[in-house]
Amino acid sequence: MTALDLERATIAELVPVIKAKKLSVADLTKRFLDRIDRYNPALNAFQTVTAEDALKQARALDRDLRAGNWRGPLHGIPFSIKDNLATRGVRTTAGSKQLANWIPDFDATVVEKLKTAGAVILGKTNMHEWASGSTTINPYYGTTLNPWDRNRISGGSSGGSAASVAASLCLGSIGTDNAGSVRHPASLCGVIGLKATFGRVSRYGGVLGTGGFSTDHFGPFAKTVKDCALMLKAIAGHDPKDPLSSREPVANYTGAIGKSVKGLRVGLISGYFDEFMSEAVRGAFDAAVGQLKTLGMKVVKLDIPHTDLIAAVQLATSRVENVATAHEYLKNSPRDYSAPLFYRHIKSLLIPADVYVTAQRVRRLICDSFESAFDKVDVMVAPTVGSPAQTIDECRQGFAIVDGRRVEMQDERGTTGTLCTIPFNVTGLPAMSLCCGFTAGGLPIGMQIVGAPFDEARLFQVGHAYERAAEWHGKRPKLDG
Amino acid sequence: MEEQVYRLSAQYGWNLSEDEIHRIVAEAAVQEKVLERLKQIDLAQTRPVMGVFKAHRSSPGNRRRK
Repeated sequence: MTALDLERATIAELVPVIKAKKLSVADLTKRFLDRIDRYNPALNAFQTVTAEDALKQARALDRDLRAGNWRGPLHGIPFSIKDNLATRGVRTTAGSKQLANWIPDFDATVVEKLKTAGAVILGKTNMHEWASGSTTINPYYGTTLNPWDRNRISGGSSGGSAASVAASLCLGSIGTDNAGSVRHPASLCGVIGLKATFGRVSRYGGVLGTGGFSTDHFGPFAKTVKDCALMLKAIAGHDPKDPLSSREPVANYTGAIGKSVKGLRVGLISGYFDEFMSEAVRGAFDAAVGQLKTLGMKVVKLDIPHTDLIAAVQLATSRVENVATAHEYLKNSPRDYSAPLFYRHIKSLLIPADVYVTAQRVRRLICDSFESAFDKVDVMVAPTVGSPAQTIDECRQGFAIVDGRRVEMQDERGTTGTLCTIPFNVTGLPAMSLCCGFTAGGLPIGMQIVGAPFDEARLFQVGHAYERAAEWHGKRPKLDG
Repeated sequence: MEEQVYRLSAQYGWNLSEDEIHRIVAEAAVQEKVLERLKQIDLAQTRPVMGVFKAHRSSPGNRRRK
């Protein structure tokens, strides 16, 4: 199949091609590895490329096919994995200096599930140091550049994963999302990024210290909503190795795709998100809501109490839970943290226990408020990030000028770029970011579709209907020149 | 708070400089103000969220059973 265009290829389109043996897995893998050779030196999306292992996996999968053993829709599909997910025999750094030479002897459950489903793992992707920021400007492994504009960040902390999918260096990736680390870079790179309901995807094998116990989630990146649904189906489900994983049955996610959304109710949350939206994001988001109305959805305004306390709850929860796993490094290699992260951990140690518990009580009020809102709506929508990708220089200076006003990258609430995503880490609700437009300068803008607990199928139904109507997913960054 | 930072520095053997301690204390004071807001609402009848997401009471299946 010589006419294969890797930039346009999707998982769903390749399934029948691979299954019918019109394209060998080895050939597909080689083509993606060639593309990584060509573009990764400039983008720095992959930190480790496992070419030899990938080709070995690919040849084994071809043998499986010849023997009549097709493993399912991910058979032979090339993926990347964020570098804070354990991969057997492959260095896993978590973007840190401390783990620069750690080679796990086991796979994280998500990696194991992907492999069982027939995935080919091309390598590990760059990330923000210890997943503790949203730029993927990493002092030890370099900066991952945005495929749409190489002067700009890819977002984070899973910036390498998002960039690898946006640049078509693979067909999907797995990242982690403690405050928006899947959805934020997905938005900045114009791809799909999903954080499913808390407990939906096992977190066994994630590097401790790269997210809070109760706020972190693992999730897929893909080019289309359907591909994302195929990936979630493969990685979701109860895992005895993760005591916080759910026993809720895994739904038929692809079954929801293609169903009409006419008559469904979409909630717009008043107040909270308005503060963060730039003019460009506001314009694209409003147009997307208009598109959902055109598709027959009914818009419902929602007043959700206590949203003003979300940032404080997230801060108290994720930082305390995170630092609780950092004692060994704080004792033995504290100066191997970058200075800002070292100081942040010290500040986290100063948060009293009663504040942590109070935060969990306030969190209960917030969770109840959001869950009650789902009596009135089927999904909610919100911007993913308040403004498009900043330049690397703006991130280094700590602020950007947006619509004529100064926007700090950090303020007293934490990273300002994730203020639109943290409500769904605090509540555990499923949230998917997908492209809802571009700035005049050609930078992607993202919108979140948020569902009731374990209602990921509804996200795919609405997301797919929007994607087909808006057609933003067909745009690709120009990597040459 | 400054005393706490000195104590942590000694306990962990960080040898923080005076400049570093002042910076951390100043940033921690800002953090404390954000967190103080959590104590300003009535939580008398509110139990904390503690690992509750294993089975959501309002998952689609449960909601349908209502």
